Amino acid sequence: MISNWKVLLCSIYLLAQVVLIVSARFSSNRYFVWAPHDIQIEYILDVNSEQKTLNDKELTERYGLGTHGWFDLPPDHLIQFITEYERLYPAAKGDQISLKYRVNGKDWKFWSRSGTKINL
Amino acid sequence: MFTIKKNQYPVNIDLIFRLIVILPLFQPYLFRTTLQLTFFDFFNTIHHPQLVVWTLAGMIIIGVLLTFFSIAPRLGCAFIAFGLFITMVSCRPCYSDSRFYIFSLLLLLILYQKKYGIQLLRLQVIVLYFGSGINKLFDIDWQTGQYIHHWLGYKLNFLMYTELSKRLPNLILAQFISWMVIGIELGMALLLTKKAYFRLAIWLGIVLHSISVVIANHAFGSFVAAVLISYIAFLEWPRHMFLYAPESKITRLLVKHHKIIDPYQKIHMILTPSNTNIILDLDHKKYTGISAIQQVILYCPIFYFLIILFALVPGFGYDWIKGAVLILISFLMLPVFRTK
Repeated sequence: MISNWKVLLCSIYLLAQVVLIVSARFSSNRYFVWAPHDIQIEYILDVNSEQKTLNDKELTERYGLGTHGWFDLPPDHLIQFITEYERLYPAAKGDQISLKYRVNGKDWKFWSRSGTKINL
Repeated sequence: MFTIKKNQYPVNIDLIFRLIVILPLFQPYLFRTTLQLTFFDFFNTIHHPQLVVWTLAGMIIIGVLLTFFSIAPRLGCAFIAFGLFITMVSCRPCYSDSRFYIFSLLLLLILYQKKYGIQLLRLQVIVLYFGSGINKLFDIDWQTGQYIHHWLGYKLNFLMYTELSKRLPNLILAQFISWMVIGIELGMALLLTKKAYFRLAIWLGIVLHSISVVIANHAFGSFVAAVLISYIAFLEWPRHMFLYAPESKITRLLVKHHKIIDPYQKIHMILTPSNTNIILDLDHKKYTGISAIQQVILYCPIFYFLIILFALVPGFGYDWIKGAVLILISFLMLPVFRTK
């Protein structure tokens, strides 16, 4: 009985991964779907808080990201880091944030707080 | 001192237990300073996040000791898996597929049952390559070669690719590489469904990951090491191994220290007169010369410990050497992959 329970648990776990893989076809989520390094985002992040431009160290403390770098998950995940931080620390909503990024070397895009994505 | 304590697991599974738990020790997230952009709001209500982080690190270290020294392997793995899971969901920037893969392997090891053998671990490897292949297959930048072109030509500035692609029509080389990777990943998922093709699939996997390490000059954190460890599941240890080795300084030294090379003490080494040939008897199948040496290496646990440690130690900008050594080893072992 116990052994069957163990197999059942493992099977559910593996099946859940397959469900996530398939569902990722219809969403931008790339967490837990086995998509290692399948996308390359080059980004430039500029945050101005209380008339001071945040440096690499300060940005890493906030978002786990530097001012310029590479990110291997879709841009939505990157933007989520910023919006999530603002949700947790509402004071950050007054900051001026500029995010420039390009996916796999294609045209640069610009993200603003209103959520609009602009092709540059 | 070096003899491994006997437990209820077959050698390949026991080896996976001991190797997989080493990986978290080489990762910086173990000593992360705080919870950051968590997946669940619950973590944001914790007043002393530092305490949580250090508790998790402590749990992982205790788990490593319990598993590596076979004191309580399943409990040890449970500690590490719990620590890894909380680390992943309490820090979005800390998420990586390598962490997720280590967690998955640990979970399947905790629930491992001898009567079902490697079936669940095999399914996990299949799901990994299925997911990876499917994601690339439906990605327009992988279909057109744009991803590979940008990755090799711009991000990595891989000279050989840049020079070759200049001499070929637009993105042809990138498209070829893209479809080859997709083909190998989906092919591996398919090949691993049949026992007869396990060896081919594993060999393809080793070559694919090694080449990517050489090209990227980057060992992808602990991902490549974790994948290589999971391949050990497909290696069935023979019941009897008798090695008849001609007496020499080296072989006498090997006999003296054979507990280090073979801590499971599966290989019985017998010294023969110096003018005889080396013979390996694997479950009554005989191998001589180079093929005997290749088989001995394949069933030497120390070989896997060395490879994994080699893959994990910092490369200091020379990570491509790790990939090159792995390619070399995989080609040296190619005849072994063809046997049986």
